[in-house]
Amino acid sequence: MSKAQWENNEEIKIFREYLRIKSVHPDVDYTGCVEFIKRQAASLDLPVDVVYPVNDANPVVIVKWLGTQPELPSIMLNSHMDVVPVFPEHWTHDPFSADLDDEGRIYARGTQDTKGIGTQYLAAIRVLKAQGYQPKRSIYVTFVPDEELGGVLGMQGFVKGQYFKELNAGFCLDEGCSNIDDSYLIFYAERTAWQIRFKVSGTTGHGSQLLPNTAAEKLNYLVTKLLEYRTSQMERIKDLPNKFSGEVTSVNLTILSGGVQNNVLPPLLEAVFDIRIAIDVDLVAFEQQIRDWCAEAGSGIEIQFERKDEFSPVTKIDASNPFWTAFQNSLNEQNLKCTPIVCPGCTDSRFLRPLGVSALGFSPMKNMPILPHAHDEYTRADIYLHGIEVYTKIIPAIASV
Amino acid sequence: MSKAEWENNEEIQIFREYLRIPTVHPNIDYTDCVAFLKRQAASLDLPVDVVYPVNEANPVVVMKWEGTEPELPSIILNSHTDVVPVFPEKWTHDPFSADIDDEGRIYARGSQDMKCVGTQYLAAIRALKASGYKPKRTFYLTYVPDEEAGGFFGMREFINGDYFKSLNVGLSLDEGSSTLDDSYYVYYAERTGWHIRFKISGTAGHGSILLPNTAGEKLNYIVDKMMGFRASQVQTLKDDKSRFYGDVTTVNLTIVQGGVQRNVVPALIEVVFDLRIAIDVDLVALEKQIRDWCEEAGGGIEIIFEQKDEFVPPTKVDDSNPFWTAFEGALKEFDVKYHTYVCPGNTDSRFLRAIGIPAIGFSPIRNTPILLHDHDEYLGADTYLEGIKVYTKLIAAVGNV
Repeated sequence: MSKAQWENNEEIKIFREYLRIKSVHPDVDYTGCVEFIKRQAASLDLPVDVVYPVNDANPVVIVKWLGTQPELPSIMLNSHMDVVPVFPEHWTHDPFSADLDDEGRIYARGTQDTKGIGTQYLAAIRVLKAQGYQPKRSIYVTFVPDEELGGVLGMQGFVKGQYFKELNAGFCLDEGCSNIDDSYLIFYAERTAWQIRFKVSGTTGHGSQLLPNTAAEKLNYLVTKLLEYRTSQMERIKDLPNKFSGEVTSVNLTILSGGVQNNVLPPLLEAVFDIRIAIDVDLVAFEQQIRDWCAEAGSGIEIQFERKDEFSPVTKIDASNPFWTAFQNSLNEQNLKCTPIVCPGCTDSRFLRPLGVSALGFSPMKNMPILPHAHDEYTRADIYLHGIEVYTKIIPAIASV
Repeated sequence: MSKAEWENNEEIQIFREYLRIPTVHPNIDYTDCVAFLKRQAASLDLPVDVVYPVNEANPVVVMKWEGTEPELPSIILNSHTDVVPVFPEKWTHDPFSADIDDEGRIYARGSQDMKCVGTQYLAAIRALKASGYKPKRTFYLTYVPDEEAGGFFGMREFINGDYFKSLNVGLSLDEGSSTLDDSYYVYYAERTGWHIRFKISGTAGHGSILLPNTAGEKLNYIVDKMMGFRASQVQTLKDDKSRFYGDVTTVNLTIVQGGVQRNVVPALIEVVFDLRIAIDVDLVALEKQIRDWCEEAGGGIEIIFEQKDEFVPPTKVDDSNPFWTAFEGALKEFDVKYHTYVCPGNTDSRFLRAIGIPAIGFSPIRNTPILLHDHDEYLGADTYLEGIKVYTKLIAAVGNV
């Protein structure tokens, strides 16, 4: 297709309209998104609900396609409406322009993460409805807020409510990630996210003295242990067939503070670590290991979990899970390769899996750079349109399980 | 002596009057202090000058006791008039009360550091004058401001001026420190003070990804090397009981800062170290070692010396220095134990040694807890009076070299 043809394509137009709505952190105003999605639902002749699980500023929009056997567990097609901030001076196009270039690249914050899949779901439904298709299971296209900030005001609140219970979800497609080679990445699990603040106290005094039990010595011991562990995990990635860090535990020092004067020993040093724990790690033992390191470092270390997610069970990607079988078969039939991996980051699927919902993270982009949160985030018009075709095959496959 | 006797002692009264003048940082008003010192000079019939090397707020008071051979290099009896801040809620007596308890303890900020020395010099001169003693060399009693803040408004500039040059100084006596046992410490050198800020840059990104060459890893490498060096110095002190901690290098981490968000790996982390380098360390080699560690850590580390003192040659404490011979002889007459050490901290003596003037750091305080800069700083009245006797001998001895 040519640039003119892409520009005239109705689905591309809808996608670009969505991208131009500035649902960007901080202080996102979702009004434009809600109105847009309502219009899309109307164009599909589908009912739509808007609920507010946590507060009035954070709506969840649900486009509903009732199945012929609505008593069966339903299918969720999830995406989030919010996008992360931009540094426009680092972009070559306005980040909310949805500019289309001659190669068909569409530039906007959210093209990959995750406005694309939101309108692709609806586009696939449009095709299926035109074909006269009726799903067996009910299909709910859910648009949630706040995912980029951890979903506290969005999915986390949503799944606790009565409305969600009544959806009776059995399977969810949620955001995945683009891949640079010719295989789709599929997320079937997530690592457990902990963010720990260590408050290390020690002897204070003048900088000219060699006092014992200083905060710095203790902090050094602890940081060394944590980073040695980090190194061991980086070594493991070298040995893995896939070099994705979702397979190992990641440990990163993200905040450090303490001390005010060049010549005074600080009584307190603080360090925050962001830890994403691999799915095969015993969390109880891991926490004990960290506590042991603190004890070995010396007394006076306070451990504060600023984030301590629960373990989220993995979605089965074998023959025991009929949704997986249907999903994988559909891709095979389309001659499309996929690589299931543990998600290296975080998505809203972590709230669904503990409730028994099978969830797969899937964004149909391959042979594409990985650009969520980056400058010049873009996708390609042909990839977008191909993704719609892929969904058009996958949705009936999973809805027929 | 009894409390009543101490209270009635004239020298104790002068000392307590001095202590009650609150020349405490920050923003010191030295007016009353200057007035007090002028009165003391008058009572000893000594001429007095007040000079302002840097600004009107920072006076240097100079009293002159002319010798019989004034063409010989003179001797300065130095002390600083400023004292460090207090946390009154942590004191059992008002820190500027100079309260004296039944055991004769005089409580005040400055009682050890170092108003005692300032008035002890005057007391010794009073005793010597009464005995008819006339020194060969001219003595200048110099009272300088700002020592506790680094001497920028005091001694550091004072020695650069023509007034100081006109004094033709050949020896300085200045503060030492108290000791816990019955020996005196005499300081003949100081360690070289460096404050180094490391600005460590590294790969930034999301907290869930194991990126290479992060600032945190490099920080860990550097801190671990510095702490290892520190530990070796601690071990040296443990292994050799004859060593004083001024004989080893002190290394302390005093400030650390980096990162703002728990889930973002920071691009920059800064850490500051306070080093007091032993006088037998090759400074060029040490700096190279530190720079090598930064290279080994992975590069991208900017090294900023926020303080980089030059090496200051020690004052000779052997028989090649006739002032020392006289000083030592006077101490021996007192039949008191003493050790010559490298001063672990910093005093104004370093400015004098740097311009080739021998300087001896000595405070006649023994069997006394080391309370400089601490809460409930005190000096025993008997210790104070004993110190006057010591100075009487010392001043007479060095004055006749």
